[in-house]
Amino acid sequence: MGETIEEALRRFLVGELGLPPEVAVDSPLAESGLLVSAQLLEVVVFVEDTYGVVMRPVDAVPEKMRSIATIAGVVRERLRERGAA
Amino acid sequence: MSARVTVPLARSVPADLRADVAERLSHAASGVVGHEIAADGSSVTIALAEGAAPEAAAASVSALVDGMTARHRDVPRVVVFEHRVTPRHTEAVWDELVAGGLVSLEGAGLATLAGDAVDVVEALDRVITTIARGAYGARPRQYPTLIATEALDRAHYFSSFPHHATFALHVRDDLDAIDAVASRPETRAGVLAGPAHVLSPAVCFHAYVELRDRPLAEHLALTARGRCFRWESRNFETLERLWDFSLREIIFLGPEGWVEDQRRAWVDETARLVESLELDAWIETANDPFFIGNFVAQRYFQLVSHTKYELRLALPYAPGRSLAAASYNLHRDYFGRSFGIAEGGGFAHTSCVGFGLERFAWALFAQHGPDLRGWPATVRRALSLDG
Repeated sequence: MGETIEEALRRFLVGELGLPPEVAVDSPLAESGLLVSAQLLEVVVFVEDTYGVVMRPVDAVPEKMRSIATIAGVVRERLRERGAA
Repeated sequence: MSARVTVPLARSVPADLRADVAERLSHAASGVVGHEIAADGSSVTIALAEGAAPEAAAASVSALVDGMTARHRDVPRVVVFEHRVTPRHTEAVWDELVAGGLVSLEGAGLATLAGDAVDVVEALDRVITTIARGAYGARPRQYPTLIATEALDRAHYFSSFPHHATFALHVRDDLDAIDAVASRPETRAGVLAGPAHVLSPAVCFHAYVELRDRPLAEHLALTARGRCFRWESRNFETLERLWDFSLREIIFLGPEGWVEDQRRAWVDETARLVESLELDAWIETANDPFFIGNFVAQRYFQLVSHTKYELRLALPYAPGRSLAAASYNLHRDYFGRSFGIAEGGGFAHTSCVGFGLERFAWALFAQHGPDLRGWPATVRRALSLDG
């Protein structure tokens, strides 16, 4: 079975952006200082490159970038949209 | 006549980045005395000072633009307030203000204000301060003009705005060094100590220094006016862009929701203010003038998360142009964390609102004309200019 979106995001955040390995799917990222503002764009680029979706400015607002779970939710929404197109 | 070189770019400069790139290009190389981005953004033509190496200058320009355009995302500005009116005055005002003795320049970015120009700056500050201390209970502060480089390191200032820093140096405590300064001007540069201090680029850093490394007893609003300094190279212009300028700030520290509410409330306060001053104005999302290392990522973050708004005032003598006269900044817990200001089991959230007083005054003169006595009575009353 392939890697889930949550697993891929977690692997990227820990492996590339240096977040602690214990980061959970619902850990608050920005509020706890785990994900700094300058890394937001890196997450967006990773998602776009990995899943072939286009992230809009409204997808990157703090509420949607709150945790791995909320980011995965945005990715699924964009994938659904792409599939429906 | 200076030599001109056209530098082709790896990536064209997108339309929404032109102003940012043009500003930063002034800092690219000391041998470049002018620059122009091609209409289609595909190249930059630079004018070189005599003796400047064209290859090195072109490489710097190329690297700078490349650093600012890589991974660029178009994030449209969002207007959160607008008060669009047709300004009554559309002619240029600088020459008249100079001729009337209201402004003069000591040098690039160094302005002297006199008479009505001083009155307008002081009136604006009085109006803003009255609101800040009255409705918001902001406690007054008077901070130093110098700030330790260590404090700005703690705020990560130099990684974001290294090009703006203006360092303050003093003579080494050493008899020979003091004698050199007194009698051999050509040797001065070699006998200075530091740099341990910077001329403050903004007022709010002092508030974080004041409250550093201890818990915040209660949510807090502070207000202070300071002289601020940002080196802008060849970008200095009229009162719009000064090296040495006056900033009135209101700084909020406390829990997240409260800090956000204060910033939002100041957008509304400003809306009422610009309406009473009959100004052609709007408030929109914005980004700070980050240098290339942080520019792309931080710009994206600020624009999508609405952490910065700017008050734009039209400059009717140059159709389509406006200046930023105030900014509304939400830092989340960035400075609370950086300066160890504890609050509610975490770190204090902060926001600040800053009014550039000379800029604001400049826009008033530009929109209402150089003669204060010709301004609408309502505007004069709003600023209590009739005594």
